[in-house]
Amino acid sequence: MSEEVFDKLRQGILNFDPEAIEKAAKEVIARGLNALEAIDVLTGALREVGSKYEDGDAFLPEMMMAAEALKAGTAILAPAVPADEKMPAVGTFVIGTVKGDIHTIGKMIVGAMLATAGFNVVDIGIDQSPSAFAEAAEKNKANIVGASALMSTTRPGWKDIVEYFEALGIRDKYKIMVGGGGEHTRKYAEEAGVDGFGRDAVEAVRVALKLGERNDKRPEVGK
Amino acid sequence: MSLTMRDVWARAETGPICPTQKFELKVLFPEVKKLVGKYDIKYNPESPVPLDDKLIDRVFQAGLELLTGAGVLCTDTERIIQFEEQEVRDTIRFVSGEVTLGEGKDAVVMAHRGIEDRRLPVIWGGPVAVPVSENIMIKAYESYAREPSLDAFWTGTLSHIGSMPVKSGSPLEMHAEKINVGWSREAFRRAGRPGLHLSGSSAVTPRAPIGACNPEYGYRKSDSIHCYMVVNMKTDYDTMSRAEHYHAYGCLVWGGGTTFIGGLAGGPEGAAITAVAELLATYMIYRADILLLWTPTANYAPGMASRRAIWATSLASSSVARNTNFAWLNASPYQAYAGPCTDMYLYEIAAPTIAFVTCGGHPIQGGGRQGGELDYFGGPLDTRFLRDVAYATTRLNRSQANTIVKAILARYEDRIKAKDPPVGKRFQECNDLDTLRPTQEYLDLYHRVKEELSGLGLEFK
Ligand code: B12
Repeated sequence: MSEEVFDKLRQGILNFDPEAIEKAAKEVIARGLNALEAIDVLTGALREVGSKYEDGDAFLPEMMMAAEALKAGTAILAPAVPADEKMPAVGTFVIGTVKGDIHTIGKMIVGAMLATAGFNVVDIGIDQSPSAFAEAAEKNKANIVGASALMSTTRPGWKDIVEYFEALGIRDKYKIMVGGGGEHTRKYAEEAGVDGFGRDAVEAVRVALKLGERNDKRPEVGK
Repeated sequence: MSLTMRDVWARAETGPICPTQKFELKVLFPEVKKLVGKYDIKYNPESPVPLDDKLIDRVFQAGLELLTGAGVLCTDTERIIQFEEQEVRDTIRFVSGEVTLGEGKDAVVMAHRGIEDRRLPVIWGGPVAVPVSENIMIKAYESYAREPSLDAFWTGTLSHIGSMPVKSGSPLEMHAEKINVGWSREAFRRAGRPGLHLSGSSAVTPRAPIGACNPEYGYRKSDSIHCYMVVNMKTDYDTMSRAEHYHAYGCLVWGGGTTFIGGLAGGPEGAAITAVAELLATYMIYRADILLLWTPTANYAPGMASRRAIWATSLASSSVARNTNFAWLNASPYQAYAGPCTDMYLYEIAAPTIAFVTCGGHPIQGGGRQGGELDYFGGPLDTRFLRDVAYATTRLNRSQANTIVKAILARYEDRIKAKDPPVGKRFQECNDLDTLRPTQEYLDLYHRVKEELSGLGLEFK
C-alpha cells in the first residue's frame, strides 16, 4: 500500500502542508518503504506546482511554500536513502540581486522555479555585493551562482561579480548565470562574460540544468 | 484619530516583530486569500473594465481590510506597522484631492477624477526611466517639452557619462541625477515651457534625489519625486527617510505600490485588493500627494497591458475613484512590451488608457520593451497618441469602453502569450534629430491605428 502514503506526500506538496508531509515521510521510514522513490514523488509534485505557476494557476507564495514543504520531507527521507543509491539532487544554486538593485520579484520567481526543478536554492537577497555572492558560493559549495539586475545602473554588477570571482581565483569553480528585465538584456549578459542567461524562469531552469550537467565552460548566452 | 508620519515611525519601532518571509507567506498571503473569498472577488476576462459598482466597493473594503489586517512590514526593524480602520478613514478623509504640477504659466492642476468623469485628464509623458544615451538626451527631452499635449514630464535614466556607465550608489549616480534634472530644465527652456512639471528620479540611492533637491540646480518645489512601497505591503527606512526630506523641502511626493499577478499577492483578484491596500499605505506612511496604481503581470504574460493586468488595475482604480478623494494616476501603460513605432505598442497604450481613464485615472506613458532598453521610447508622438485616446475616452461610458478594450486586446494578446512582441525602433529612428519631429513612418502608423480605433467606436475630435 505504498501508493497511499506516496499520494499523501504528493498532496502535501500540492496543499503546501509541511506537517502532512512530515507525517507521511515518517510513515515511509517506519514501514521501510523506498525513501528514494518517496523523494521522487515529492519532487515530481513540486514540478507540478511549477508548471501550474507557468500556466497562471499557482502563485509565487504557493511555489515558495511547496518548496519549503519539500524540504521538510527530504530532511526526514534523505538519511534513509542507501549510500549506494544516487540522490536526485541537481546541485546548489546561490541566487541574489546585485548591489544597488532592490527588484526582487524576478529573482524570487526564478529561485522558486529552480527549487521546483530540484536545485538546493540559497537566496542571499537583494542589494548584494560581489563579495556576498562569493562568500555564499564558497560557504554553500554552490555549483551555480545567479545574479539578477534590472536596471542600466545596476547591470554593471554582473561584470563586477565575474571580475571579483576571477580576482579571488574562484571563477572556474562556479558557473555564473544572470538575468533580469527579460529578453533584451541577453546581449549585456554576453558582454559581462557569464556562463548562462535566462530571459524568464523557464529558460533559467533549462540553462541551469544544462550548466549543472557539464564541466566545460561553453557560454550559454546566445540562443 | 488621524495619524501623522511620526506616529507611523513610532509604530515601525514598536509594532510586533515578524521576520520578512514569515510576513510574506504566513501573514500577507493568507490574509489576501481570505479577503478574496470573503468579498467574493473573481477574475472576469469578459470585463476588463468593471461594470459592477457593488464589486468595485467590495474591492475597496477588502483593500482597506488588508491594510488593517496584515499591516505593513518595516524591513529594517522587521516589525509590523499596524493600522486601525478608523485611523485610516480619519486620515484619508480630508485629502484635498487636488495638486498643482509645475509652476507659472506652465502649471496644471491634477484633480481627483471619478468613474466616467467627463473632465479631461492630465497627460503625463516622457521616457519614464528608460535608459537614454547621453548624446540624445537634451534633444529627446526638448521634443517632449515642445509637444503641447504633454502636461507633466517624467525623465529617463542617463545611461552613461562618456564611456562610464552610471552605476547605482556611485558618485557618478549623484552626478547623473543633477545632470538629468539640469538637462530637463534646459530642454524645457528651449521649448519655452520653463515651469513644466518634472518628475521621475531614476537614481537608486536616496541620497541622489535628496541631494538634488535644490531650486538652483535641481528639483523645484513644484516637481515630484517618488516613494515606493517595497513589494508587497512592506516599507523601509530609506523610503521613509526620503518622504521626510521631500516634505521638509516642500516638493510633491509620489506614492506607489506594485502588485504582480502571480506574485506575492496571488492572482489577479489578490493583485487588485493589494493594489488598493498599497495605495492607501503610501498615503498613511509617506503622505503621498500623488498616488499611483500599478499592476504589471508576471512571468506568463509580461508587460502591463495583458487582460489580467487591465482587469486588476481597472478594478482597483474604480474602487479608489469611488471611495477616496485622492488625486491619483495609473502607472500603466507606463512601459509597453513591444517597441515603439509598432502597431502593438500603440495598442498597448490604447487599451489600458481607455480602461483606466474611464475608471477615473490620469494616464502616463513611457517607453517600450519593458522600459529597460536603451533609447526605446517613441518621443512626442507617443504622448500625442496618449492624449488623443485619453480625451476621446472621456466621451465613453463604461460598457462602451469595455467593448472597445476587448476589441483592442484581441489584436495583441496572442503576441504577449507567445512572448514575441515586435522589437520596434529607438527614439533616434522614430524621430528626426534635427527637426525633433516624428518620422513619416511613425506618423503614418499613428494615423492608421487611430483610424482603426475610430472604427471600433472611439470618437476623436
Ligand atoms: C516592479 C518594478 C519596480 C518595483 C520593484 C518592486 C520589487 N521590490 O521588486 C519598484 C516600484 C519598487 C521599483 C523601483 C525602481 N525601479 Co523599477 N521596475 C519595476 C518593473 C515594472 C517590473 C520588474 C519586475 O518585477 N518584473 C517582473 C519579473 C517577473 O520580471 P523580471 O524581474 O524581469 O524577472 C524575470 C526574468 O528577467 C528572469 N530573471 C530575473 N532575475 C534573474 C536572475 C537569474 C539568475 C536568471 C537566470 C533569470 C532572471 O526571470 C524572471 C522571471 O521570469 C520594471 C520594468 C520591467 N517590466 O522590467 C521596472 C524597472 C526595472 N525599474 C526601473 C527603475 C528606474 C526603478 C527606480 C530607479 C525608480 C523609478 N524611477 O522608477 C527604482 C529603483 C529601485 C532600486 N533601488 O532597485 C527601470 C529601470 C530602467 C533602467 N535604468 O534600466 C525599469 C526598467 C522600468 C522603468 N523604465 O521605469 N521598480
